[in-house]
Amino acid sequence: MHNTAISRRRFLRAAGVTLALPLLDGLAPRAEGTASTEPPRRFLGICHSLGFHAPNLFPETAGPNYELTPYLKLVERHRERFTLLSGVSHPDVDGGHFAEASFLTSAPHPKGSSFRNTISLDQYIVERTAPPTRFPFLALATRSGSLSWTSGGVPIPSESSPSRVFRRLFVEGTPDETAAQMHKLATGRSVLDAVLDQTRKMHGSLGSTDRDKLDQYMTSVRDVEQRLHAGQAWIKRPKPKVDVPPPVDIPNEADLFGRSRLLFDLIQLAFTTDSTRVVTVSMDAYGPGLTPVPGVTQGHHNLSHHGLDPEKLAELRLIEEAQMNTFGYLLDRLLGASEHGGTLLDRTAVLFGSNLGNASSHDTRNMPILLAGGGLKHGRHLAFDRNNNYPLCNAYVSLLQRLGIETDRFGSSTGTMTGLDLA
Amino acid sequence: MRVSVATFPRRLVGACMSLYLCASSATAGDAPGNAKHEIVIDGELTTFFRSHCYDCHGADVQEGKLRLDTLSGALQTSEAQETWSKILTRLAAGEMPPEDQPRPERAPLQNALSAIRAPLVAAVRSSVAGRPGRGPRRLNRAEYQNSVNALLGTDLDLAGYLPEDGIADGFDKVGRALNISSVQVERYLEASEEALDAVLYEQPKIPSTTRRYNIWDDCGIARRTFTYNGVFAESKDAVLAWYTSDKFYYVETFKAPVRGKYRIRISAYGTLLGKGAERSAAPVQLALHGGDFKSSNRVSHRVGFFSTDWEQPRVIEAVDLLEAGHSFKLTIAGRQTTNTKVAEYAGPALAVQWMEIEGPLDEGVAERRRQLVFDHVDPDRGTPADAERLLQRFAERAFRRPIDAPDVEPYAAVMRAQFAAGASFREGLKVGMQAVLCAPEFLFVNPEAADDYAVASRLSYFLWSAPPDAELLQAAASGKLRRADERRRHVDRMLADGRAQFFAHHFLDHWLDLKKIDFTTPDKDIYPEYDEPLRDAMVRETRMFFADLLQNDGSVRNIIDSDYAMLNARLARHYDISGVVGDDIRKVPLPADSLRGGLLTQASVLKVTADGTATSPVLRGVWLLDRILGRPVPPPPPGVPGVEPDVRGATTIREQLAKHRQSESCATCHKRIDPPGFALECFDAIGGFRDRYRVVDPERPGAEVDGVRKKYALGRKVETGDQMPDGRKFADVREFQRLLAADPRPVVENVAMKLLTYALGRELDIADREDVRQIVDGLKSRDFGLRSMIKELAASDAFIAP
Repeated sequence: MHNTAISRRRFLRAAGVTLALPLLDGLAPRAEGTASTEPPRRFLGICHSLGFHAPNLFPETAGPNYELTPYLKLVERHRERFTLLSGVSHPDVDGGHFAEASFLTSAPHPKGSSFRNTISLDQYIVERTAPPTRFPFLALATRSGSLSWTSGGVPIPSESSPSRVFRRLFVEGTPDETAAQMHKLATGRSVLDAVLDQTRKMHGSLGSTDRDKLDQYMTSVRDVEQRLHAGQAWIKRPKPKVDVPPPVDIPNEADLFGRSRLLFDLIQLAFTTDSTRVVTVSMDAYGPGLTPVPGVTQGHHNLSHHGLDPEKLAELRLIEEAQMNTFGYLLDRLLGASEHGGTLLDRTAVLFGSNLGNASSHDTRNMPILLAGGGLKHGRHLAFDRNNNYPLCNAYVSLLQRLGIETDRFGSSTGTMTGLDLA
Repeated sequence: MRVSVATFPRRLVGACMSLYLCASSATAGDAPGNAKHEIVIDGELTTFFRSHCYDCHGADVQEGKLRLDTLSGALQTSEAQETWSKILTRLAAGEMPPEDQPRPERAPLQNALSAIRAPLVAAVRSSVAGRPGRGPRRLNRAEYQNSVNALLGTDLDLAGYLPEDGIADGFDKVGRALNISSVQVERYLEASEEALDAVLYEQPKIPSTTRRYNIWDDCGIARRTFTYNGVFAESKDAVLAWYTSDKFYYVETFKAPVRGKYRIRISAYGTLLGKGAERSAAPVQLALHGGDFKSSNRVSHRVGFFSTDWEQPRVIEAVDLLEAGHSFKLTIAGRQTTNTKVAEYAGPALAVQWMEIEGPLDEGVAERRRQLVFDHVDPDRGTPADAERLLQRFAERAFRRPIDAPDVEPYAAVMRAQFAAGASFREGLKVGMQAVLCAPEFLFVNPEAADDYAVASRLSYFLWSAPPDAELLQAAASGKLRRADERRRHVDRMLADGRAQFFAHHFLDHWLDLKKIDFTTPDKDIYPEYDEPLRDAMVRETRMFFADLLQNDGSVRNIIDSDYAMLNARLARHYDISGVVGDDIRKVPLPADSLRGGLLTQASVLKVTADGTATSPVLRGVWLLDRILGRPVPPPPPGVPGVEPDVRGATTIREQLAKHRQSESCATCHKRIDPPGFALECFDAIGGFRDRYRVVDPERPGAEVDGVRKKYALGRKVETGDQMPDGRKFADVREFQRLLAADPRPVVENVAMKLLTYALGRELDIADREDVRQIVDGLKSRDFGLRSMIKELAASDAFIAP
C-alpha cells in the first residue's frame, strides 16, 4: 500500500469527467428579488506558516507616523489602508509550527497530547451570518494545511488547486452532468435520512456519557442533509459568468508566491461575483525544493532557522520581501474592483499574518499581523507590549463587530482591540 | 477517626472537623459496598498530608486549586475519582511534594500510596458505566479505508477524502479526539460512492501485456532536456546519466490502462564516465518511482531503491500499484544535482539497458471482488429480490456482527425506493450499500452492545487496523473470545498475518513520530551526506527493529539498549560500521565500542527530534521523557522564549541552558528535561555521530574532502555528560543507557501503557494503569518480551471491559 494522495475519482474530477458533491454549496439559496441593496461585508484570513524576521518588519515608533522598515517600505503605497499590530499573540498558544492550528481559533497548547481545537474565526462568521452565497466559505491553501476548523474542532480540508476552485465557482456542467448531479443530491438525501433514523434509535439505547459522539454524528448528518437540500436549489441557478481565462495550476509546490497570486486572483473574482464572503488561505512554506525567488539557494524552512547567520538572513530577506509583495498584490487586486462607488477592499476585512513571531526559535509570541480594509480606520502601527503580549483575539472581536455580529468575545479575547476603530 | 484537636495547628481545625464528618458518615454505612469506595483518611495518612502537603494545599494556600485538608475521601463521583487519581499519580511519580521540599520517607510514602490506591482502583472499577471515553468511537481514516477495502476487495486510497483525525494521548485512535463534523459526513458520502462505483461498475478485465522500453525512445523529456543541456550521453546499448532531475527517465510512452499492480524489470549497472573517474565507495543506486509525472496534478511515490553492480548489468524487479494513467520513473538515488557538461564530467554514472513493464497483474483479484459484492448474481440481470439478499449479506459484514432483517430495514428501504423509481439493479444496490457505509453501525466501533463481537473488532482494529475476519467472528459467536487463552491464540495468529503491518506502521508513526520524518529537510550545507537512501534506511531500521521484537518476542529492554542494530550498507556507512553490504536491512551485531544500540541512538528518532539544522537537548529531552519514559513534562510557562541554537557556534547550547537552569522556576523541569537531551548531544540532526559541532561561518571555510570544499567547519567540542535528577552522573550516551537499563521498569511500563491506549482507543484511567502494572509484573519471567506483552494485554480484563 503506498501513500499517494490521489484517487481515481479525484483524478477524473481533475480531468472534468465526474461531478463532485457540492461539498461547500450554500446553506440557503437567496430568494429572488430580496437581494439586499447593502453590499456584503466579507472576511479574508491568511496565515503564512513561517512569518517574518521581526527586525525587518516592526518599526520602533507606534501610531500613524511610524518609520518605514525594509518590509513596510514595499507596501508603502497602501500605508493608509492597513494597520500593523505588534506585541500581540494568543495566550497559551505555544508549540511552534503546531500553533498554525490555533491561528484563527486561539485554542491553547496545540502541541499538547490532548489538544482539542475550537471553532475558527471564519467558521464562526459563517455560523453567525449564514451567508446567502453559493459557497458559504472557501478554505484554501497554497499547498496543504487549513486554517478553518469546525465548532467540534475538526479541520476542514482545504482546496489548493485554483483551476478546480475556478471550475466549481464559474463553470457550468453539461445538461447530463447537471442531471447526474441532481440525482446524486437526491440519493444522498435519502441515504442520510435512513442513517439519521437509525442513529436516533442507537442513541436512545446508550448511556448518557456515551452519547457524545453520536450526538455529533446526528447533528452533522442533519446539517449535510440541509446542505444537499440547498444544493438542489443552487444547481438550478446559473453560475456567474466571468470574463477571464481559467487559471493554470502551478505544479511546483515550492512556488508559494506564484500559487498565492493565483489564489488571490480567484478570491477577487469570488468576492466580485458574491460567490462567497468568507475565505481562508493557508500559505504553507514547507514545500519541497527551493522557493523560486532569485538569489535563494536554500529551502525556506531551513532559512527560517537562521540562528542569526547573516548569509541565511540575507536569503531569508529575499523570500520575505516576496512575501510582503504578495500582500501588496492582494490589496492591489481588491482595490482594483469597484462596487457601490467604492472598492472591494472597503468591505473586505483582510487579516494577514503568521502563527510564528520568530520561526528561528519557534516562538509564537509577537505574531506579525497586518489588518487591511473592511471599514476600519488604518494607517497606524498599534504597538502593544512585546514582553507581555496583548490578546490577538481582541482584534478578532473588533472584526466580528464590524461584520455586524453581536458578540463581545471570541476565543481568548478580553474585549475589543484598543485603538482599532471604525473608519 | 478521632484526632485530638489540640495536636493540630489552629488553621487545621476546620479540616479536622470535616474529616471527622466524612469518616463518620462512612461508618454509618449508607449503601453496602460503598464503604470500600472511600479513602479512609485516618491518622497516618493525615499525618503524611500534614507533613508534606498542607503548606501548599491547605487552608491558607491552595496551589493548583487543590485543598487537601478538607477534601473528602468519598469516591462515588467521577470528579472525586479524578481528583484522587491526580493526587496519586503525582505522589507516585515523585513530582509531589516538589523538589525544594523535604522528601517523604519511603515507608510512610508507600503506606500513603496504598491507602489511596486500593480504594481508588476499586471505586473506578466498579463504576465502569460512568467511566469516560468508553462510548462508541468512530473509525479513524486508516481504519475506514481498510474497512471499506476489506468489504469490497479493493485497495483504494480513501483516507485522502477524509479530514485529518484528531490526536489524543498520542494516538489518532482515541475516541475523545475523533470528532465528527458535517465535513466528515460529506466525505463519507463521497468516499463510499467512489468505492462502490469502482466495484459495481468495474470495467471488464483488461488483458495483461508486456513491453520493453528504453530511455532514448520512451523518455522524451529526458532525451530533450539532456540533449539540450549537453549532459546526456549514449554509450553502447545503454544510456548513461549522472544527475537527478524531477522528470528524469519518466516512461512517457507507458500509461497504466487501469488501476492495478504492474511489474517493472530494469536492466542496469553502475559505470564510470569521463577521464580519471573513480568508483565511489557506495555502488550507484537507482531510485524507482510510480505516479503521474506529467499533468498539473503531479503525484509520485517511491517504490524503492536498488543498488547496481559495477559494470555488470543486473535485472532489478519490482511490483507496484499504479493508478490508471500513471507510469514509472527512474532517478539516480542520492546524487547532488550537477549541471556539468558531458564532456567535462568524470565520475560514477548509471547505465540503463532496458525497462520492461508487465501488467495489469490480476491474480484473480477482480473475480474475488465480484464474488464479495455480487455473490453469484449476474449484475446485468439481478432482480430487486437479489439486491435485498446481497444487501443483507453486505450489512452483516459491514457491521461486524450477525444482524436480523429489521437491522438492515432502514437501508433496504432506501434501496427499495430507488427500485420503485426505476433504478437499475446496480444503481439501486449502490444506494443501499452507500447507506450501509454511512451507517453508524459501520462507522463506529464499540457500539452500544459491548459484547463478544465488540471484542473481536477491538482485537482486529488493534492489530490490523481492519475489521475482524471470519475466524474472529466465529470465536465471538461461540463465546470463546471471553477466554484469555483464546485471545492469546488470536494475537499469535493475527501477528502472523500481513495485515499486522498496519499495527507496526501506525503505532510507530505516532509513538515515535516516524510520520514526521520529512517535516524538516536537513540543511545541505551542514549535512551534505543526507540523501534519500539514508532517509529511507533510517525509517526502515526503526520499523524493522520493532518488527523483530514483535516477531521474536524480543525484550522491550532492547528499546533502551541492544547489542545489535538493523542495518543496510547505507545506514552502516552513516553509523561508521564496516562490513555491511547491500540494500536489504538485516540484523547486525554491533561492535563492542559502538555508540549505537536501542531506539534512542537510531537516526530516525534523532532526526524527528531535531529541526533540520540544529539539535536541541530540550526538544530531545522533552520527547524522550514523554515517549520513552512516559513522564511527560508540562509546557513551559507563558512568556518564556525558546532557547535558540546558535549555528555560528559562538555559545554552546550547554552554556545557554546553564543560564536557563539558574532560574529556579525553569530548573524544576529542566533538571529532568536536559540530562537525556545532553546524553544524545553526540548525535547531530540526521543522527550522525559528532564530537564537534558543525558550524557555518563565512570566516571559517570548511575542510576540503575529495576535492570538494565543505561549507561547514568544525566548531566547539560536544559535551555529553550530565546528571540524572536523582544525582547519578553519566559521561556519555553509553553511561546514560546503562543508568536507564539498571531500572527498565519505567520504560517497559510506558510501552505497555502506550500499547493499551492504542488498543482500547481511550485514555487509560487509574484502574487500567493498575492492570498494566500487574501485567508487567507477570512479564518479568519472560524478560518483558514484546509479543508476550501484547498477548497479555489482549488477555487482560481491561481489554474486554465495556
